[in-house]
Amino acid sequence: MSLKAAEKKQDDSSKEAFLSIDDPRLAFITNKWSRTIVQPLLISVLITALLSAVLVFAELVTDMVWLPFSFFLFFVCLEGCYTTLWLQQPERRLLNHTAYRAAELLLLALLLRTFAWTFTSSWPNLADIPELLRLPQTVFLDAPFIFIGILTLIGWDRTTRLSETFTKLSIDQAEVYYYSKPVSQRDSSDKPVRTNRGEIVFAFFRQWISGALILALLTSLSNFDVVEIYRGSSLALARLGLRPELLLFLLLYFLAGFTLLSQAQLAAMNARWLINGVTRRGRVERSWHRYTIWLLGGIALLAAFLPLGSTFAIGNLLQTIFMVISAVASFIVSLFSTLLAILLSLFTGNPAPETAEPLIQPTLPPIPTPTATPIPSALPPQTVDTGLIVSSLFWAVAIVMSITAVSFFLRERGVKVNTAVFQRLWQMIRQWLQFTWREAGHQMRDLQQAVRTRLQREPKENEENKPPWRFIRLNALSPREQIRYFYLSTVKRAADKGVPRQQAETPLEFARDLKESWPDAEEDVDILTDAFLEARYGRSPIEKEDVNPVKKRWRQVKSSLRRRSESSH
Amino acid sequence: MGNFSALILILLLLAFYLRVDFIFYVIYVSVGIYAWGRWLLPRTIKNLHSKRHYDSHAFWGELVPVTIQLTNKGRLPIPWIQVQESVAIQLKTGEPLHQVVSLGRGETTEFNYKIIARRRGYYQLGPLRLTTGDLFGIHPELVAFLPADYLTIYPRLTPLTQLGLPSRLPFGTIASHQRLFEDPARPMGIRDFRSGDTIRQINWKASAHTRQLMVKTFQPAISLETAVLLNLHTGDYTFGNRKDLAEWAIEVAASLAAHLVNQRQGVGLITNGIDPLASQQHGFDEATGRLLRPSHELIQANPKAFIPAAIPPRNGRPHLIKILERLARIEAEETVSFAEWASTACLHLNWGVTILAITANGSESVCQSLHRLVRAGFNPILIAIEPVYDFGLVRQRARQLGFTAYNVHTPRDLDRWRRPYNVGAIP
Repeated sequence: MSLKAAEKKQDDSSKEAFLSIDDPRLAFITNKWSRTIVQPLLISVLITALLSAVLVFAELVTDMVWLPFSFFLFFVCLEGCYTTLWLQQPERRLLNHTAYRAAELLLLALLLRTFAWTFTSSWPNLADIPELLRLPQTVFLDAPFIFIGILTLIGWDRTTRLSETFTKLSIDQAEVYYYSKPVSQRDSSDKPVRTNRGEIVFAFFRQWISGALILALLTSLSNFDVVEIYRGSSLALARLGLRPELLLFLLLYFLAGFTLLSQAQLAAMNARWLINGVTRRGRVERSWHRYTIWLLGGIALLAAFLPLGSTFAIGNLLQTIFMVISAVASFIVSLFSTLLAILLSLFTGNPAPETAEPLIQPTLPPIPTPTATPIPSALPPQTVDTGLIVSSLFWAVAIVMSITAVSFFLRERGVKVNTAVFQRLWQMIRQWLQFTWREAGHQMRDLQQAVRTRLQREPKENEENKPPWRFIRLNALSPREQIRYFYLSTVKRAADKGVPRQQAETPLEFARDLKESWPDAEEDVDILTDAFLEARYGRSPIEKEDVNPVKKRWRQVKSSLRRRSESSH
Repeated sequence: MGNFSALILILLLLAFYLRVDFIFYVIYVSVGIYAWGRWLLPRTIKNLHSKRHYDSHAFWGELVPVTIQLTNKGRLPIPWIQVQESVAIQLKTGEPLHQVVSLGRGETTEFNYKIIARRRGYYQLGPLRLTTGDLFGIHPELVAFLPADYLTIYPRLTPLTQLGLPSRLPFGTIASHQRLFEDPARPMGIRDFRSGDTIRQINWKASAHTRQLMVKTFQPAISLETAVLLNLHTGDYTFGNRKDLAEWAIEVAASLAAHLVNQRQGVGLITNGIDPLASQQHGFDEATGRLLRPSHELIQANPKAFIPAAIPPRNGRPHLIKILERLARIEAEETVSFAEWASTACLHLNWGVTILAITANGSESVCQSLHRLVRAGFNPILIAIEPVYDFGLVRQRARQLGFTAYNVHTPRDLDRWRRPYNVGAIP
């Protein structure tokens, strides 16, 4: 046999191993709509409903609006489902699943950060960016991000596990390949490992029930403070004192859970039928889905018209019985605990204290001791700021990791970035920079020429020591510059009034001169000088709100100077 | 699933303790689904009606189509029902019936499969196993059975054209070369009168026409009323595989009976084998699906109770079917030896009946028994089934004792009876 023929044969055998979706032998596999649309949607609804109930509960506890994050959680669940399905495909066996999952999580974290900023309208201002760059932890340490992040992680984990459960339940290609052959043609070495699908369905059932209990508990707890509302409707559901969102989530959780249970059962039955050589006629799966929907819908509708717990006599009777049982149980427990305490006191030799709880001495909060505010040095720092280096390093690593993760995530999904666009953009930027550089060079030359020409001119007598007049728009200046402006204008006015600032004088020395000349403006001068020193040498950010008091002081100093000159005249 | 009940219980507790009415709604839905499955499943099975359509008798080698009709007479659809038909291995051909279907309300569906009649016997078809369950796996699956039906497969028949067996009974329907048995009802022609011819045979019209005495000639014919005496006492079979030899003996008996009925002769069947259906408690082998014979001890306790009654010679196809049915079920067993049984078994037969004694060999005791039948006025013919290398001696002994003997060990030995009519002659 030639090499080509051998390759062709191998190719044919590999084609045979992976059956196309239309192959009649794949009739046992739950149809692709169920696998790719219905199941991911149901799983996402199930998990989102459970987590959204937590959000509703959080809203009740914290008085904040959390519910819109349900949309994000739903998106995360859906994404988790589809990524799991995608990773289960035979073509992805060689892909590093752990790395891909890590990239997915990083992308979700970035999306959550963006969503949280957008939803809470707390996008960082431009002025805050230096601060964020310097202190990167502030980006992540806010309540919405942490709380929703934890919920997202839980939701993603549960969704992924549920998707894997359903993947395990469905029949794989190897099983179809082996069990669809006649018994005489089966090779025992090809026999796939048997999966205990009944146990998997049961495990899902247990998980679902656990979730249902959590949900019921949350619903119960959220109902404590709710006052009784409208009771006139014929529909019993409207009479509940629950938040409608919680009611919706509870309903969705149960209905989606039942539907998923039915789907899981169908998948397990399909596998069993295939392995046992049962021929399946076409309508079975369609009937299964249709019957499930009708049954669930019918029972859910019927249940809506039934009387609820406390509205009928048997409910009250049962409640009384439960109450009596619980009272008896608590009495027995307290009796036993008392006896146990007495017994223990006999062994230890100390009589049992009369009061169960020791008295706790109230402690006063510690009185804050005033600490001296360090006066910033007038000179620029000589040493390199290590915090800045660490934060820069962090951001560099974070950005590189994010870009790598996102590009890895998208590239594997078949999203190709067109590099030609970026290259063209880079060319344009380069051309623009070159042009700007050339223009700037020309302008510099013109400026030098103009200065030289001006210097050659004869200066006028009255313009000898006067700086050129310049219009300053105060509001256009930053808060820091405004404060500096207030101080410098005060210095100028003082000089005009006969108290000039010497070249070697520090602001504090000059302030002393001013206070001697204008004792009534002593406080204003001090505040203005302090503000200037902070603006000139300080590092802490100066807000807009900090400018107004300084401005007020500046005006008062200005009026004092004016009054003094008027009185002297 | 026990957890489901636990869920309902915990929900109830939560609902009562924490006074949340809505949880009752969830409880209603959960209980509703649970109760629905519990209520519906037994009714689903109850409302299923099924029937098996097939030919209950088949000839060897025949392909028998079987159709099972399954009808849902309930008002609710059945989402899935698994149907599995048990078919004996020896009858299987093609894919077994093992399907899962869904049935709408009042819907009828049909399942078709074929079985092949490979070996004579009385077989069980089914039972049909019906399995159904709920959609959530909350309840265990429910299984029901459609009762089994039965199929009789006749022994293999070898078509024979001419036996050429001698008979002592005149006025039958089989042409004979023995002038002794000329039948006046079968005129063949005329000839010149010879001295000694009876005056009743003179054809007066022809004599007047030819002006000399002419007498009628008649075709000789015999009546071959036959009883097949089939020896299935295993103690008489000594050579090789007794089971195969017994099967071959039954096939020979069936072929001879079929041929004789086709010749419009009366045929009866007397055998010392056992009919398992005669037992009150009969069962079927799970692997092969064949009717199980009673235990050896039970038979030995009273062997005659299991030996079926003789079928007297009659003609006609319904009678042949009766014989073939008996031959389909009959089994070789340690009952009564041929020597002890043959004479008494033929007591009820008419004088002159041809007895086709199909037995293992032509031993002296067998020959003596047949000789006694000769002396009793019967026309016995020995058909030995076991291969005998010096069968000439047996044949000679038989001739001396007044009967004919044949050794039919293989199907090829039947060739002597498959030759065309006009060539046929007594060997």
